[in-house]
This record gives sequence, structure tokens and C-alpha cells, in this order.
Amino acid sequence: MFNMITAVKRQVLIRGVDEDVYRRAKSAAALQGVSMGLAVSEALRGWVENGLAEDGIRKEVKQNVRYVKAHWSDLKRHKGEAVVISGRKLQGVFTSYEEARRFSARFNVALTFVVDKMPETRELEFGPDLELQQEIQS
Amino acid sequence: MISVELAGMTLECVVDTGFSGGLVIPLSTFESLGLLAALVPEEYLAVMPDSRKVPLYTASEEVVAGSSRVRTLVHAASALDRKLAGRAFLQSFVTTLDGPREAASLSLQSAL
Repeated sequence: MFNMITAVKRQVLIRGVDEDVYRRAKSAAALQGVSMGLAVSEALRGWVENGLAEDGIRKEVKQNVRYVKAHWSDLKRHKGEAVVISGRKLQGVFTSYEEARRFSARFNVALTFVVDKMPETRELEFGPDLELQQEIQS
Repeated sequence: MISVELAGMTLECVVDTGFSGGLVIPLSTFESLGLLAALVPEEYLAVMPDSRKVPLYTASEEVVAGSSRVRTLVHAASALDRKLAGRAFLQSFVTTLDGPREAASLSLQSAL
């Protein structure tokens, strides 16, 4: 919770805030009877916390991918079968992808795939109109 | 824009022929649909027009478009808060663009 008594409050100037988002946020803050300072602080706190949570997810995905690469010689014995990798472990082998998918729903993060070829890194092109979220927010 | 259904959720996606992947959805939607538990083992990187590379979460999922159901790759990244339908998804269909109406329609290739 935001501690209004002990938190040090600071005045900042933020450039490049989306006008429509700002107007809607100001209106929502007014409706809820909170200051824009409090609303922005809460939004920034959520953004930081989500980022930390995402770091954890990304780390787990990387560890699972590393597991697949390190254990590929074992995994390829299941060629044509569906596997679920989570927590750096082979959690299950299934005859169909659908079955594996139902099983993997119990994990927050899992690789679920039919064993075929050694996984590679692939690149996807994005068109010139696409802006990254960080650019919009900066 | 085209309307697709992913894991029971209807999404309006911008048709982006400049994007070579399947579908892009916001990470919050990707997470809420449980797709973090259906990731593919391949690592996908989005190469931005300025050559920066952004790692993507990627899952293989069935998508319903009209009366057609196709399996496609669904991508997400916290830096990409967009809903896009790219070429890997569109290649299953014949896409007709209606400029004046700013609309796109899809029909399955096999139906022709």
C-alpha cells in the first residue's frame, strides 16, 4: 500500500505523456477523489512490480529452453510425442499435443511442444509503423 | 482490422503485412489466456525497423477466424502493446483489403 505519511514526495516533469491517457487518468482520479500524484505513483509502482514479475518469468523461460537444449539427446527419443517442460524438468510425455496442453495448464510457465527438431533462435521482421511501448512512454 | 477468436476471447487485430510472424497480442492478454504454459521451445526475436531485437514469448495456439480454425504462433512482449495479424497467420487465407471501408476480410485458400 502507498504510505502517504512516510513517503517522500517529489515534483517531477514527465515529457511525452500521451494526452488521451492523461485526460482519462485525470478524470478517473477525480472520480475516485485521489490526486494525480497518488494515481501516477500507484501506476509507476505497478509498472515496476510487473517488470520484476516479468523478469522472473523470462528467467524461468530461459532456464526451460536451456534444459531442452542440454537434454535434447534424451528428448529426441520422444520424437512425435508431446512433452511438457517446466521448472527445468521434463514433467510429462503425452501421445497428443492437446493432452500435453491440458496437463501444462497447471504450471504458470511451461514449454509444451511436440518433439521434432532441435529448437533454434528465429527472427521475425516487424513493419516500419510499429513503435515500442517504451518509446511511446518516453 | 480482422476479428479472431483465441482461447474463447475475441480480439480485433490489425492486419500487418510488414510483420512476418503469426499474431501479436498484449502480454497481459497472453498471460491471462494461460499461454505462458504453452510456450514453444524456439526463441523468437522481433527485429524492429531500427534493427533492435526484442525477445518474444511465443505459443502455438488454435485461432478461429470466421468459420475457419487454424493453428498459428501467438507472440507477446511487454514492449509491444499491440494486436497484429502477420504474414505467417495470413498465409492460411486469401486476404482481401477494402480500402474505402478500412476493412479486411479473410477466406480460406482451400475454399477457392
